Amino acid sequence: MKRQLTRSIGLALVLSLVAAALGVAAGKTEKAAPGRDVIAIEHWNENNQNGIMDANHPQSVAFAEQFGIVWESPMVPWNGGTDYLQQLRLRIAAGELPDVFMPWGGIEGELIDNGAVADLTALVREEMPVYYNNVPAEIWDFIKSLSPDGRSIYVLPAVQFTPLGGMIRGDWLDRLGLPVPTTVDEYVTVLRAFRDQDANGDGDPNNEIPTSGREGGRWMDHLFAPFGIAMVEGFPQFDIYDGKLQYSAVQPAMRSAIEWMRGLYAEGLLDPETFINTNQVWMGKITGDLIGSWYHGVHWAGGRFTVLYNSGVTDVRLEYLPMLRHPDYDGFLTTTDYRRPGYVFGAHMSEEAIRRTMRALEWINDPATSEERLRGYEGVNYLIEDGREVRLTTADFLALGTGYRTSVGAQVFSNAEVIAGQNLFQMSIIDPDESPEMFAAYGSLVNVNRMIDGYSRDTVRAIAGQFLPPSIYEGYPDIRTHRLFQEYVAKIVVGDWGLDRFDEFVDRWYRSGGTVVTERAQEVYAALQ
Amino acid sequence: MNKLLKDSRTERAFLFLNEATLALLALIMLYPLVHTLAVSFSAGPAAEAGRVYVWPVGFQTTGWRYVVRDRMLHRAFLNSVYVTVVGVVGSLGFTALFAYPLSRSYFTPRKALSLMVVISLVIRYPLIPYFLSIRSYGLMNNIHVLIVTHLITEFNLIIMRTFFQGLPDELEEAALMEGANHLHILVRIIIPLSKPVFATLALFFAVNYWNMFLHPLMFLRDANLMPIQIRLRQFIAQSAALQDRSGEVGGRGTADLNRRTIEAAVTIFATLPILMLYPFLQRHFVKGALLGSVKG
Repeated sequence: MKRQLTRSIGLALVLSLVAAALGVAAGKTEKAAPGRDVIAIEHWNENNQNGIMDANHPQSVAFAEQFGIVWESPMVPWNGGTDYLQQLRLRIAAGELPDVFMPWGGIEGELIDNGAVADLTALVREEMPVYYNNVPAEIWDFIKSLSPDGRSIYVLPAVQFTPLGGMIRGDWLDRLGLPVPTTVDEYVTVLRAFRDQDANGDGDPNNEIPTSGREGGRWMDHLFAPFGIAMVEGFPQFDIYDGKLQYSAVQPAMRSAIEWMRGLYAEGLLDPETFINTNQVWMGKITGDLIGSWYHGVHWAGGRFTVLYNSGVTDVRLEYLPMLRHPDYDGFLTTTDYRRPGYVFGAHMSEEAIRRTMRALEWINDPATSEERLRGYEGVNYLIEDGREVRLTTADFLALGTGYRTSVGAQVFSNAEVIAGQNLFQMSIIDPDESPEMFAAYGSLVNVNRMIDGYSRDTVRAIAGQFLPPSIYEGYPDIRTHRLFQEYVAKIVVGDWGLDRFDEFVDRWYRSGGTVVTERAQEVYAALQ
Repeated sequence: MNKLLKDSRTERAFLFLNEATLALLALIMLYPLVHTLAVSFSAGPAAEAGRVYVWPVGFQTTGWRYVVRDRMLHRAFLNSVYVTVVGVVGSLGFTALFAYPLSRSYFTPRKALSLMVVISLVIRYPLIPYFLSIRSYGLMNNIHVLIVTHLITEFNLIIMRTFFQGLPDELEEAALMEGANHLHILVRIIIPLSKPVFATLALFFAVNYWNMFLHPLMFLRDANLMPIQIRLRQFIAQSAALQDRSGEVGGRGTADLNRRTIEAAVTIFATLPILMLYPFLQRHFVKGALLGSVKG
């Protein structure tokens, strides 16, 4: 017994020693020795969850040569921004800000007020002229309004082309001999045909879902847009109604939109599960060849195309669904030029470090360098095999198992031409005849560019409320999260409640803080004007 | 008496119901695991459309191949094994050293110390001061931060103390008479008699170390030090990003990669080591958990 015990204690000791040795080995890391004049930059943004970029990453190595910086992006989980913000707050509290990072949750105001981030007013013009000129003047005005003196630039804004619009299955329309609808009535006709006939051609005329959205009434903006409702990803926005800045959800047009959708739902044209679909379920229905038309980022449509094609729907074609005209309303698709703050620089950085980082950011955001960037780096974006450049997809790249991300992902400026141009460049380096995968890749680019083209010609409007700061919602979190709207829209559309409850919603919204928030929004708007 | 009970019809009905309920419960608990396993071996589109239940649809092993091939994952796996093995051994040792005096009635500061333990169990530390103190100990970016901060956990300490209290005092007295000191008593008498509680706590500690997520995020920067949970999370994010954006194409072989199957493979991969540990400790587990909880 005693011997056994001694033996097991001995064993445990030996084990832990071995493990400790292992651990010491694990603790040692190989750092690329940066040259004398290379500055390490710690970079954080929402892409940091996708992979790490350390000093050994081919791009960091290239940046050291090109700009004299070692670009390091440690892993920071995103989780809808919650985890990111928590980690960032921790670092701020500890007085250890990352060097260049994307502020989140409206903390840029706090950081500027506390002098934690650097004044970039002069530097951005000198080091990032292309980006500076590409960003619209009104966005710079807004950015300056964030500073204490109202004239300084502390934040580099993210101005990204985010074409949120409708999509419809072109191959389904072909099968039924219908054109792409352009009006509300034509759309209903198409939806009825999707419902009644075997639009997806699987032999079952009953499994098609004409159109669908996601929980909280999200991602069905194409059904609200015809009524002139300002809305981003299902969240009603502030815009000009009757000459004043007001919340779009409490306008009479919203009542009409809900009434129309109520009809669609009763007729079985709207997915019965539209208000409970999670992202995953919704995506599963789209890629499972079940949904006829939906609303999303049209520049992301390539992913849907590829999955559908690879699962055997080889005739899949995605068409852009234009904003549907309504006889009584001036409809439009909502866009916001200013998406969010892009980057701030920690006040602890030396001017030289900021300048070098800015040069790298300028290079990343200059449309003229996009081909060079898309070509990427050996071992990450391509391999050389038999003297020939072989492109790697993210899948191939994951298979390399290095844990690296594919590219720096720090783009804060893009527009339709940039995105379409990048797609054309990628099409030029693909040989669709090489394999079915290549054909799918090529096809997805063709589809995406058709969509971007359709979107570019559509009725899209930047709304008046795009520059409202989160502070207008202070004290009224429910107003900020649109909870009341989501509850009423779901219950009225599915028929649990009568349409007359809409007036009750308007009343409740104003009483529960809407009045105050509207006043604040109007004040901020007037000040910005 | 026993026979009578067994023969009674109501008793048999009760037993049957009991077994049926337990079997159902077991099934309910087993299903998610089996389902996830099935998804991990299914074709992407089928998994995506929710057509997989207990058996793989369109059998393939791509998800698993990606997971197994990942070099960073091998590294992370070793890191986690190291943290778990050293952590469990260290935790058991330190917990025993603390629990032993707390279990002896003649140890005067016993009550005060126990109270402090209970206070720290009820009131959690605020995150930012915690971060600042750990950093001031120079433990940033050091893999041992994961172990040092978890050597003793209040709950496990109380379980072990309670178990020690249940051991007869006479053993200790006899040993003292024979000239043993307290360290001898702990190592030669108390610990050998406490195998059930050690097995139980080993499992508790192991699960804790293996699943660690927040601490490495807060205190580690170096990718080579990250434990497995972080790497797996990152792996999922990477494959999700792949499906959400079509920004980068022009390569080969995207056809078989799917976020759902990768997620499932990753989930199984992360759970497996702990699942494998369980059967070996199970014998002691029930006994230990019960003993620790009722005696006091």
